Formats: sequence, C-alpha cells, structure tokens
Amino acid sequence: MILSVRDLSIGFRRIGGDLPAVDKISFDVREGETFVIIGESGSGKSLTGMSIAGLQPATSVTSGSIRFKERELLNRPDAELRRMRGREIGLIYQDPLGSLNPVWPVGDQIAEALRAHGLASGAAAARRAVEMLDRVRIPDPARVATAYPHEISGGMRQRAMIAMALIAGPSLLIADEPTTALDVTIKAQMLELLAELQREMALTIILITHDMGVVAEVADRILVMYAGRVAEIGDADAIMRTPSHPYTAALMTSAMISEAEPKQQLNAIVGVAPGLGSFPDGCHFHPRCPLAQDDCRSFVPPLRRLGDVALACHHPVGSDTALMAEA
Amino acid sequence: MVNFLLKRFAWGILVLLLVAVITFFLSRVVPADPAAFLAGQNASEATVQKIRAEYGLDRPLTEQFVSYMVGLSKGDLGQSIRTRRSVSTDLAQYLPATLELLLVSFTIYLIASFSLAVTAARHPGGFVDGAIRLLTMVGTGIPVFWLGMALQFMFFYKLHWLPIGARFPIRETAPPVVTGFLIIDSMLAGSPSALLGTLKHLALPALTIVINLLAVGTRLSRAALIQEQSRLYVRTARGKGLGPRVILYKHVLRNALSPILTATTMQFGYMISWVILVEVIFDWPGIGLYAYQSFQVFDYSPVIALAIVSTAGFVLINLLMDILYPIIDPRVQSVGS
Ligand SMILES: Nc1ncnc2c1ncn2[C@@H]1O[C@H](COP(=O)(O)OP(=O)(O)OP(=O)(O)O)[C@@H](O)[C@H]1O
Ligand code: SF4
Ligand SMILES: [Mg+2]
Repeated sequence: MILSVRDLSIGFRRIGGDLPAVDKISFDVREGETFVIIGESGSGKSLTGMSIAGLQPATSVTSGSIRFKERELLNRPDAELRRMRGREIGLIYQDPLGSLNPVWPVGDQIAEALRAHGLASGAAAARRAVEMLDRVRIPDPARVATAYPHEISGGMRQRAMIAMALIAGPSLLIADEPTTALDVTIKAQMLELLAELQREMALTIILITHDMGVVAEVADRILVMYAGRVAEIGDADAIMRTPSHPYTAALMTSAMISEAEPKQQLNAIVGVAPGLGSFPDGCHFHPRCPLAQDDCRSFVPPLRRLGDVALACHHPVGSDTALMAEA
Repeated sequence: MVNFLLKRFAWGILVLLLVAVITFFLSRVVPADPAAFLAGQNASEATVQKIRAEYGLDRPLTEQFVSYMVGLSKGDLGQSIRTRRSVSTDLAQYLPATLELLLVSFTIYLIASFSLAVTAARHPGGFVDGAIRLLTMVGTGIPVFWLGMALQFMFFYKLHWLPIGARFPIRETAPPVVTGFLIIDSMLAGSPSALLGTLKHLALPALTIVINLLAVGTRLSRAALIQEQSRLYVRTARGKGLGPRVILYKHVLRNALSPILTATTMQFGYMISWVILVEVIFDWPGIGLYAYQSFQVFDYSPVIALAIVSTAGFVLINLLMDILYPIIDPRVQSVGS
C-alpha cells in the first residue's frame, strides 16, 4: 500500500461551526495502480487529491490521517512537505495555461523542479528539461523549452506540465482532471501517454475526473465520491459491470446515454448535487435517489463490503430482501 | 515594436505642443502687466513702454503667439523678464537641482513602497498589514505643505538634525559643477563631507514627497502582489517543491511587476507636481521655485517652460514604460508589434 487515507475530513471555518466539504473518507492506493476518483463537481475530489500533497486551501481545516509510504503527511509543517512535492509526489492540474507561469519559458519552469530539490543546476538542469520534454513526446523539445506558455498549444502545455511533474522522479502522480480542458483526440493521446509513462517509470497514478469515459479507459480501481463522502469504492471492472450504488448506476447510465447520443446531453440524475453547507441529513444522495426510503433520510449509510467492492448504501441496486432486512 | 514606439513618440510631441499652446494663452488671460511690475511703482510710462517693446509685449496676442511658437520650434523658450536671461540658461542652472530631488525621491519611494508592499502582502489582513496601511494613510492624509513644515519644525528647529533651505551648507564650498547633480559632483570631487552635506539637505524635501505618495504606492503594489499570490501557477510552483522565497521573488513578483509599473508611472506624474510644491516649501533652488518666483511677478515664459518640461518628463517616463512592458511580460510583445 503506497497510500492510506483514513477518516480524512476537510472543512472550512464559518461563524457557527465548520462546514465539512470532505467528510471522513478512507481509501487505500496500491503501488503501481491507476486509482480513479470520480464524482460530480463539488464532491470534494480536488480537495482530497490536493490534501495528499498538502496543497489544500490555506483556509481549510483538516483531520484524519494520510500515510504515504508509512509516513504521516497530514498537518505536517509545509517545509517538510515541500521536500516531498515534486520529488516523491508529482502533480498535474486541470488548467495547464493558468497553471504555468506566463512570464517564464516552459523549459525553465520544468528545470526548476530539479533545482528545487538540488538534483541538478544550471545548464545540466536545462538539458534534462529538454530530455524530459522529449520523453513526453513533444516534437522539437529544444524549441518548446525556450517558448513561453502562451506560445504553445493546449495539448503541449499539458505535456509540459507532465514533464514538470515527473522530472524529479516521483513515484506517485496526482492528476486532477488532466484532460478536461482538452479536446477529444488530444484527450485520448494524453491518457495513452500517461499509461506509457506509468509503465516506464513505475508510477502510481491517482486520477481525478468526472468523465466516466476516462474511467473505463484507464482505471484499475475507482472511488466514487458524492457530496464529500465515499459512495462506492473498489475494483473498476466490478463496479463498471454491475454498479451497486444507485449514484454510480446513475452516473453510468448518463455516461451511456451521452455516448450514444453525444449531442443530447441528457442527465439521468435528476436535480443537482448539494453545495457546501447544504448537505441533507442521512444519506447525502437521498433527495435525488430513485431507491431512497425512510431510513435513508435519517441514517447515514455505513461503508460495507459487497463482493469486490465496498459501498455506502442502505438499499443497493439489485439487492435482495435478505440484504434489506439486514439493513 | 519600433513603429509602435515612434507612434508613441509622435503622440508625446503633440501633447507637448498642446500644453505649450494652452499655458501660453492661459498666462495671457491673466490681467496683469509684467512690464509695469518690473519697472517698479515710480517708473514713468515711457520706461514701462520701453520694457514692453523690449519683450514684445506691445504686439498683438496672435503675433506674440506665432513668434513664441517659432522660437519654441528652434528650442528657444523665450526670455525671463525677472532674471533678464534666456529661460534656457535659467533652466540649465535650475533643472539639475529639480532632477536630483526628483530622482532621489523616486528611488526612496520605489524601495519603500516595494518593501512595505511585500511585507504587507505576506499576511493580508494581519497586524503588520494593518499597521502599514494605517501609517502610510496618515502620511498621505497630511497636506503636503503642512507635512513639509512639520518635518522642518521637528528635524531642524527642535532636533537640529537636518538643515533646510538650499541644496548645500552655506558656509562650505560646493564641489565644482560638472553635472549639476551635487551627489555626483561631490563624488567626482572625492569629498565625503560634501556628499554628506548634500544628502542632509536632500533628506527633508525628499522625505516630504515620499511620505505623501507612499500610501497609494504601497496599496497598489500590495494589491497586485496579493492578486498574483492566488493564481494557479503559484500552486504549481508549490507543487514542485519550491519554497516561499523563490515563489515570491521569482514567480509572484515578476507577474505583479506590470500592474506595479502602471501604478508607478502614475505616481511619477504626481511626484513631478509635488516636487514643484516642495521646492517652494523648502526653498529648493530648482525649476519649481524658479517658476514660482517668476509667476509672482507675472513673468510668463518660465512658467510655460516649466509646464513644457514637466510634461516632457511625464511623456518620457510613459515612453520608458512602453519599452519596459514587453520586457517584463512576454505576452505584451505581440500586442505592441
Ligand atoms: N478555498 C475554498 N474555500 C471555500 N470552499 C471551498 C474552497 N475550495 C473548495 N471549496 C468547496 O469545497 C467543495 C469541494 O471542492 P472540490 O474542489 O474538491 O470539488 P471537486 O470535486 O474537485 O469539483 P470540480 O469537479 O468542480 O473540480 C466545493 O463545494 C467547493 O465549493
Ligand atoms: S442509502 Fe438510500 S438514498 Fe442513499 S444511495 Fe442508498 S438507497 Fe439511495
Ligand atoms: Mg476539482
């Protein structure tokens, strides 16, 4: 187990009590796998991902435990976490243009990750940045290294971000919606590149997305988040084949519908996800859940094992009466 | 880029021309007779007439205007009735004093506003931020003439720390004039005591100007820094393991420089007008005091010259900024060319 998250809560201070955005979530990430976190906008995916590297907003309050390679990371002093960022944990983000500094050449920003950890300096670092650009399949890497971010394409920028994240040799890559800003062809190339690099560099990848298509493509295991909590977690194939949590099932249906008729952006899930501070009692999903019953409105469903997966639901899809009686 | 700068330069010339025209007519609107003033109360009408003729004041206004503009196009700024010398000669004597005060004030302003802004932006809303805000606001809230007098009272009359009036100790011999800048001339003469005397005389007027502009300058730079600190590239910089110092000085500051530069340009414009006022308050022998004394006896040409020179200063600093922008921000280049 390269990463173990236990009872992680991330909240924001408000007068009259903290607002929880992530509520006691737990999960493990295995070495070398692609672990996908999926959920609607605002479900807490980015907060979860960023907190692993200690990059959650300064205004947030965190509790629980994040153990990376047997070391506790949560609420460590920033100066200590800094030594791990880039060196052991690499990060890429949704908006490559905004995530790159507009006034420095791309190559310089990549080389900086080596310099930050004293791995190389000066011309040697610059040379290795060009090599790294080549490794992420950028044609004419020497030219791109001297270009400014606004002078290269969106796909190139994200490749440059990957080069920056991986140049200091981390074993874990956290990718927060790396393909969302890109068009379909570039998106496929990017996923392919990540898979290749994963093999070459023995990477563990945590991929955050709200795109079921991405999940089907790359996921070994998935974590489905809804309104700050774990809905379902487990083997990707098992979940994709027979989603047991009503929310996962709804996500899959809407993905299938939009794939069959891409023009018709149908949403199989009625209503919208609740925002921060307006989470309902009981199961957070109950106002939108077709299977909701009275107990769902009052009692938070505990995470329970069901075959290859674990899920938090009182009345899973296709559950028999025995299961319901047990609940 | 060159094309763009040439266009800006042409605009600058046009602005200067307009300023010359406007100040010329404004000064003639004043119902006063400089010739009578100069001749004195007991002078005969004939004497006054003679002076009028000498300075062309008896000719029709349009004729005076045309001859002034023709002279201006040749670089002739006219004659001063008061000093009985050409305005250009006077300017050559007084301009270095003004420039020295302006440049010293500007340097102090840059260093002070910048370091205060960086300190304040470290913890926005914190105690240090609040203290800096309060103190600079007080400095700006005080009217400049009162501030000048208060500083004179404190450091000259009470504490006897710093001198006022003139640019150099009266009892000492000034270094030989080479550049007209006393700091440089003292250094060229290799005289530390002359340099010290010069700096002491500069201290209070410069301080008055800087204190007055500090609040706005600090606030603008602070706002630019805070805005940049929340950008996504800062998270990226942290994500690769950079420390707060590198992030501030290499990433944030470089991006905040463009808005800071814009603010600085405006502040420099204000500074030019404050220098003129402060020269009067501190008896500083620069072009501000020169124009003020000329204005008191309705001697027009030095006043118009001051307007032209200070506008030229402003136009020049804007031109300099236009050159600096693309160097600071690579994204600007494509817009300029
Ligand atoms: N700095 C912050 N201050 C206050 N609330 C925040 C802050 N950052 C995030 N939140 C809130 O926390 C919740 C979870 O945010 P998060 O960014 O993790 O969502 P997400 O699942 O990544 O969504 P998306 O798909 O939109 O990126 C949201 O409701 C958001 O409004
Ligand atoms: S617990 Fe109830 S409301 Fe929540 S997902 Fe399951 S069935 Fe739906
Ligand atoms: Mg997100």
